[in-house]
Amino acid sequence: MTELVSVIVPVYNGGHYLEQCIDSILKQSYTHIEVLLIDDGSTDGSSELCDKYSRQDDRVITIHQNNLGSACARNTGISLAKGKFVTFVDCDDIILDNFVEDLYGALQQYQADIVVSNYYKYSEYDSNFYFHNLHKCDLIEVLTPEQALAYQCDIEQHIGMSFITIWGKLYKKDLFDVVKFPENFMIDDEIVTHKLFLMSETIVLVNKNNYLYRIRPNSVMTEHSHPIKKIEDTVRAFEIKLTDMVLANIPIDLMGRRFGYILYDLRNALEQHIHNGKDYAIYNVICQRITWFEKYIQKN
Amino acid sequence: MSDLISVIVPVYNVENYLRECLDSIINQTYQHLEIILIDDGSTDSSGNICDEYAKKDSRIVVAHRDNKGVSGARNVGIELSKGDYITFVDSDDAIHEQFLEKLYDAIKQYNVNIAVSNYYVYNEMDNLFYYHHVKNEGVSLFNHNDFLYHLFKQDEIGLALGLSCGKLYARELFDLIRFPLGRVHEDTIVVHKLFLSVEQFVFVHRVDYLYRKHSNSIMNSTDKLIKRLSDLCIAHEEKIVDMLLRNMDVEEMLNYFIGVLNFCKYNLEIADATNTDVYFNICYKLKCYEDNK
Repeated sequence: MTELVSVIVPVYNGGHYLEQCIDSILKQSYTHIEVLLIDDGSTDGSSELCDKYSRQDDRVITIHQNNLGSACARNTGISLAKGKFVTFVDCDDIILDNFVEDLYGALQQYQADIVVSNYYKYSEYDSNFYFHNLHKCDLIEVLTPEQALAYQCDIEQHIGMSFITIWGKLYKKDLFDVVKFPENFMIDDEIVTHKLFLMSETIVLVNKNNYLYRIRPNSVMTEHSHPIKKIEDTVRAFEIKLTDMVLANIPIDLMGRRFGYILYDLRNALEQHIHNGKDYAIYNVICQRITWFEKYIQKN
Repeated sequence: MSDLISVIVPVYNVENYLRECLDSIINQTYQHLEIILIDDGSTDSSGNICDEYAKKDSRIVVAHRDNKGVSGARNVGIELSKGDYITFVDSDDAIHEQFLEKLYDAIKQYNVNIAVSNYYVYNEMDNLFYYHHVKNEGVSLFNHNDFLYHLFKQDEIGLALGLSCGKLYARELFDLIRFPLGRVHEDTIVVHKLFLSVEQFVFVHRVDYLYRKHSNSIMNSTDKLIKRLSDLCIAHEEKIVDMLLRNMDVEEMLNYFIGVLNFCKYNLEIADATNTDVYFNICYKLKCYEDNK
C-alpha cells in the first residue's frame, strides 16, 4: 500500500501553460496523489480550467480565493492537504512522469524528511532549454541539514538553486506544523526552505532533471514592479535565515559570505537599475554592511 | 579654533518643556554650536517658540515641516548639519551646562569618535527624579566587548548606551547610518550600528542628560502591538546579523535574544495575536534553539 502524496499548485493566471502543468501531474507514474489547485484570484480563465479538471478527475480539488499572494495560496494548500507528504509545483512549470515516484522512493529508502530534485529550465525569451552540468548525474546523496544549507551557498555549481526553491521537492507534511509561508513578503524561498531543512534530520538529493522550470515574461519570479520592496525583503530573508541558523547552532560562514555577495548585487541594482536608488534607506544599510563584510573577508 | 558641534533637536508639541530644553542648550559652556531645531509639524506654540529663539541666538536654525515622526526629523537634522560632531537632544529633555564640554574633551583626549554621558530621569507620573547609582567618576575607555557586556547586563551604563541621545558622535559616523522611517524602536535599530562602526569609545561618568518620562504609553490596539513586537524582533535580528558580518561573537547576544523572543511570544499570546507571521517566526526560532540545546 502506497501513501497519499499531496501536490499543491498555487495558480495565478497560468495562461496556456496551466494545462501542460496539470496534465504532467495527472500522468505521474505514482498515481496515489491528490492535486490541490489553489486558484489565487486568476483573471485569465485559469479559474474555469481548474474547475474543469476537478470535474474530470476526482483526485483534483480546486479552491478559489481572492488574490492573496502565492504564500497564502501555499498555506491554504497545506491546511487542506490530506497526504502525509507534499510537493509544490508552480502553475507554469512541468514535472516529468517519474518525479513523484523517484522522490517518494528515495524518501522511503532513506527515511528522509525532505527529498530534493534537480531541475532544468526553459526560457520563453530565447526558446532554449538550460541544463545544469550534472557532474554526478542520477546520484543520490544523503545530507544533514548543515550540508543541505551548504549546498544553498553553492550557486556556482548550479546545484544551489535546487536547494533554495520551494518547488522540486517532496516534504513530510508535518514539517509544516512549525513552518508557515510568511504572507507579507515578495519572496518565500529564501525565507522558508532553510527552515524546513533545519527541522529535518535527513535530506536526500536525487540528482535528476525531473522538474522543468519555465522562465517567462511577467511570471512572478521575474516581476520587478516593486523593486525596493523586493530588495528589502531579500535583506530581511537573510536576517531571518542567519539568525535561525545561529540559533540552531549551524556554522554561518558560507551563508554569511553568500549574503555578503548578494549585498553587492543589491547595491549594484540600486545604483544602476533603480531610479534614485541611492535615496532609499536600504541603500545605506547595504553599504554599511558591505564595509563590515569586506573587513570580515579580509580577516578570514 | 575648536570644532563645530551640531545639536539636533526634533520638536513636536512640547510647548511646556521646550524653553527649558533650549535654554540648557544655548547656555552650554562649549559655545561653538549650531543648533538645528526640526519643528516636526507641531500644532501647539512649539513652532513659534523655535522661531523666537532663532531670533535671539544666531546659532539656531529652524526647519518647519509636516509631521513625519522623530526618526525622519533627526535625519533632516543630520542632512542639514555642518558640524564636525553631532548630538541629539529630545525637545522635552535638558542637558547640564557642561554636557558638551565634557564629552568633547573626552573625545579629544582619547582620540575616539563617540563619547557617552550617563543620564537621569524625571518621571512626570510621580514628579520624582531618578538617578542611577554611579560608582565611578572620570572617564572610561570602552571597546566592543564592553559595549555588549553592559548592554546585555542592562546596568546603568548599558541603559545609557541604548539611547541615541546623551552622546557626542563624529559626523562621519552618519555617512551611512540614518534613523529608520516607519519603525518603532529606532534607538535599538541605530545605536548598535554606530557602536559597531568604531573600535573604541569613551564613557563619561557624569549624569549630564535629563531624560523626561511621561505617562506609560498604553497599547491601544492589537495591530499596534503586533507592529511593535514585530519591529522589536526585527531590530534584534538585524543586530545579530550586523554582529556576524562584523565577525563578532554572538553567544551572549543570543541569550538576550531568546529573552526578547519569549517576551514577544508571551505578549502576542495575551493579545490573542497568534495567527501572525511574527508569532510563527518567534515560535520557530525558539524551537530551533530548544531542539539544539
